[in-house]
Amino acid sequence: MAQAAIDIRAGELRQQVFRKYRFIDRKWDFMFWFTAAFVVAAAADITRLLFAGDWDFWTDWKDRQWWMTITPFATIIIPSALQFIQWRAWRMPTGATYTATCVFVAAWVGRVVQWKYFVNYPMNFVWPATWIPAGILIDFLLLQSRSFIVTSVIGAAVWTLTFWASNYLMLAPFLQPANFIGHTLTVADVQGITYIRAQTPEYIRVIERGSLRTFLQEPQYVALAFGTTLAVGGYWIGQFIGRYLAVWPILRYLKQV
Amino acid sequence: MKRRFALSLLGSLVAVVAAAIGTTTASAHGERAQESFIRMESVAFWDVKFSTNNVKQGEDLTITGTAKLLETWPSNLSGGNPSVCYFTVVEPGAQFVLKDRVINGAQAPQSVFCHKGGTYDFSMTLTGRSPGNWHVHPAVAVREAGTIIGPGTWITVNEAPGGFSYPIKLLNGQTVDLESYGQWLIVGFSVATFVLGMAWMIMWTWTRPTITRLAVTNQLPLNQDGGDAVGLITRQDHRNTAIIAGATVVLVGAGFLISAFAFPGRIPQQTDWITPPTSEQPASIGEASLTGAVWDPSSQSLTMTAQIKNTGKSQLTLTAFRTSYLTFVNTTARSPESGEYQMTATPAGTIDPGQTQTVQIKLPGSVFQQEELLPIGKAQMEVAGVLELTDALGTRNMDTVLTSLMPTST
Repeated sequence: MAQAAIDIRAGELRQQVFRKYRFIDRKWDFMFWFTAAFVVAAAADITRLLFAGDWDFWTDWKDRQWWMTITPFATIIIPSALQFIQWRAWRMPTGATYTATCVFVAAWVGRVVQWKYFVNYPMNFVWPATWIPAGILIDFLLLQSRSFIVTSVIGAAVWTLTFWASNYLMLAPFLQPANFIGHTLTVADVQGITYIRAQTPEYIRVIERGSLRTFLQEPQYVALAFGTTLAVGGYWIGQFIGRYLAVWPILRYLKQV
Repeated sequence: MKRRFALSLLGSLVAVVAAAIGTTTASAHGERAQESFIRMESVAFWDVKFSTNNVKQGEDLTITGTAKLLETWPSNLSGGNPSVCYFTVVEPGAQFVLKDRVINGAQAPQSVFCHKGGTYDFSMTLTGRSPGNWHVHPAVAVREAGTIIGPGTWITVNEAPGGFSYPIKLLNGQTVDLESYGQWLIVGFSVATFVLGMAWMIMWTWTRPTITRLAVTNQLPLNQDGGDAVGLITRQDHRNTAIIAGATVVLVGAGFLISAFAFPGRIPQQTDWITPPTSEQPASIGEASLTGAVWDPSSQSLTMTAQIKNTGKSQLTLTAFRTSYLTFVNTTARSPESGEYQMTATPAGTIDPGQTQTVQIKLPGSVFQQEELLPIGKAQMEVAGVLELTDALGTRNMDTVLTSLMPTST
């Protein structure tokens, strides 16, 4: 009897899912996804610039300690907010991938137009990191778990490790050692010296410079572990934005009208 | 409506054309934006020379000169004690590449340790990269202070037939072009991730409505989708997403391994700061100090009063006053070179050994006004710089001086 009621309810919902609305056709969907892309890309890019701007701009800042610690935190905030919004509203596990894809296009347009053609830096020095693989995997995790708590704990680790792996492979050529005026430096260091940044002197780089606090002389694993922990915090900042600054005010408004 | 649209289109076109025609090349680098007393009291540049002002792409030019972190370094910059400096070039974007940097005879790829009162002879070799006419300055960036700019000049870079490339040699013996090294890996992998991202988004948005799903999801708990029976998320969706997620793992994993094997021997970014050797200073031949400075707006002149003592063994001449990136030459001692200005010293002539003389130095106020170097109405109304003293043997001393500035009216 109870199963029959559930089936009837499911059937009603199914009819609503596939119902053809007269005034809300697919054009509205397209308009929504298209216009939201600009806002989402801007929000995500601004958050990245605020927290981790220079790490994303230059190869000689993309180090294994600070880049890996700070950038996953900075980049997971808006994907997390969008994950909540899109899951809550449409049960689509698309928030992180959508954000990553939007910011990918925005960042490449910005780097090519502003950095390459306006001030003439080579693209292999100013390329933006990609978050898309990390976005796909945490969206997949949300789809499978249907839990924001699980996604925050496991997803933050997945986000950090995937971010590292997918961008480190593009960085690898620039960590080759080279001889520059009698000193051993990485290709990335040579880029930082060679391509003059008038107002970004070398000493301002926040990169691994060595400390007594490494674990078995391996700062990278410590950075990844710490980056993962920070990313959990970043994920819940994003959830706060999604839940209380986006969805809650909208639902409150809808209830009033 | 059509007319309004056409008019707005025409207006936009006119605005774009006007902006394009009216655009002039930016030439300033903010040198006048910094407060005058900070420019005068922090770093003085002298003997700055550009080996040429016309190069082709790929050709070198060298900027040489001396910068001194003055003893009058402001207490509010770098806590009063500058310790890390980066000798650099200020130019609009990356129109040149920096090929070599020598500070006090030592090659300095990155920052150097420096100190208040330190004198640094620098040589920076640039290579022309982008055709155009570029304004170039040497500069010293100081940690926790900022970048202080030296004298600049226009450099023309002419187009070379082969364009520009910048080969560097890796430690494994391979020579690579820094202009494009690794670019295809970046573009190729980034595009591959974008394709996967678009596949994910198209899968979720192309075949089903979006906005209207809200009517259904509002009736379900947050952690439920109703399963296949409701149809918000189907088994097919799970299968497709697993394929894309799997492809992502394969792409990243395989890319990571291939990259790790293709580029062995990687090292982290290096910090290679040096303490440059101390610049060899000539024997002391004189001592100079300022006892006052007066700015007279009506005659547009800045008059400084100096006490100069000859501690050497031959006659001493006040040859120049240098402040920030400006040089004022005593015309009775020598003629100004290009980019230098005149000053008059009264009494003119030399100072005998052992003698102390009071000298009135009159500087053209218009230059100070043009360069916005007069600290009238600023937080510290002071004038600072170095007085250049030269003896009969050609020995030269640079004495740092500072005094309060008194305007006849404000």
